[in-house]
Amino acid sequence: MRPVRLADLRGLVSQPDFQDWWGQLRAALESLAGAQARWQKALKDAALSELHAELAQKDAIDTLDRARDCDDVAATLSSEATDAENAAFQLVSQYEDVRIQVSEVWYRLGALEKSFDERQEATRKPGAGKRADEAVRTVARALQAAQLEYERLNTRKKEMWERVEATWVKQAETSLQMAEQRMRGKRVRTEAEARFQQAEQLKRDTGAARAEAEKASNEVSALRTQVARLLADAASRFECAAGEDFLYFRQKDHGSWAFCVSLVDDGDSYNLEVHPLGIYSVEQKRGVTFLEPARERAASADEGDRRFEEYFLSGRKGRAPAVGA
Amino acid sequence: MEKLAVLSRSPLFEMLSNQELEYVADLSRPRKFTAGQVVFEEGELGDSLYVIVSGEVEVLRRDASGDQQLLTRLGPPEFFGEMSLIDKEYRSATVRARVDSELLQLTAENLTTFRKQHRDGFTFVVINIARVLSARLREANAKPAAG
Repeated sequence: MRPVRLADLRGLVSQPDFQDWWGQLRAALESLAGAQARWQKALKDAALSELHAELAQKDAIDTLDRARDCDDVAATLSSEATDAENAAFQLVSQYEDVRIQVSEVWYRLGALEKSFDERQEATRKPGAGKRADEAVRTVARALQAAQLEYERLNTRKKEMWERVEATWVKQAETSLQMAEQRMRGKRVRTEAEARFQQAEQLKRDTGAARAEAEKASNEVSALRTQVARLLADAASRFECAAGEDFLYFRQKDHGSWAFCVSLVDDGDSYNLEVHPLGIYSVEQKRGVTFLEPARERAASADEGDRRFEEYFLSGRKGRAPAVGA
Repeated sequence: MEKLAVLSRSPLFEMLSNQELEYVADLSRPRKFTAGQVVFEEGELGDSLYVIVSGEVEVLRRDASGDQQLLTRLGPPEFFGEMSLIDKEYRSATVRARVDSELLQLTAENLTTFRKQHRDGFTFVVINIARVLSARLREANAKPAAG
């Protein structure tokens, strides 16, 4: 670290050799910042993609489960529909028996009515006696019994038909629902397959994002090495000490002071606003914890009455006011 | 932000030469405060003064019941925070940004650096602070008489 005067340092900073080095460093720092941003983005993308892939896989499994549920429901409905169909066949068979019985009674009823009419007609013939009346009463009783039998069987027939129809309705409804569930199961299964494919794509994307992050990480490492090399180069070429944010030069004629040339633009971290290639003056012991704008030093700068500094810079020790006082 | 233009309008830096103003500009640090953000609190130890570049701040002080009362509002190119810098007492009031505001901060240490480089300029800064304090004292003295 060679001792320099401010004018010499200003001259050095404005030289093409220094400006060329600064151009290279600035380009490397800009590339490094870009690579770091890409690296962070790639890491974020990889993490997001991985999470997305996991969620998509879980969603696909859930969807497949829903498809299976639909298939189960369809199978149950199919079984119910078959039961209803069998029950309907059985009921139709029973109904046919009753219908035949009703028909038989109907024919019998017709014959009895005819017989009743004939017997009644016979009683009106001259000479018809008590036997004719008795015959009418016998046929009338048989006719009444047949009518009651007919009504009973006919009612039963109607009830059975209603049961047949109800069973057919149930079978139809169950079949319709079964068909819908089967289609639903098929559709949900297709959805699940699409989601599995999506999950696989996202896993591939995760791999690509990880590869991108790895590439950006390597780029960052290479650029950090390049920046470190440029700083080391500056230290030997310009005979200074090189930090990451400043280059340091001893101040000629002021042994305990140094100049520093800023390599950064920072309005927050230091006691004053720091600009790239701005030249500042620092005490060697304190370094950049306190920067002063570099100026040609006044003759009295380091000398004179210390009372002011002692007062102005010593600890603050006033009374703490009571709250609200 | 054109620091030099701001500082040259501030009553704190009246009578300073361009060279002195440039040095103060280099020493000052821009700070941004959003509306409602506190610059400093009453009762804190303070070692900085602030010049208002843009926006507006309100100066508040707690009364006997502990409620904050508005003392005044300040805007560009006024300054505040100089009292604790001079008397080294705790902050006598809270200062809060009323709207989004930009300030220039000068610490005691930065002003000391200014003094090392520009003793006469520093003397003018102290005189300017004294003028402002004197004006406030006169104003305070005038109030009972007016009442």
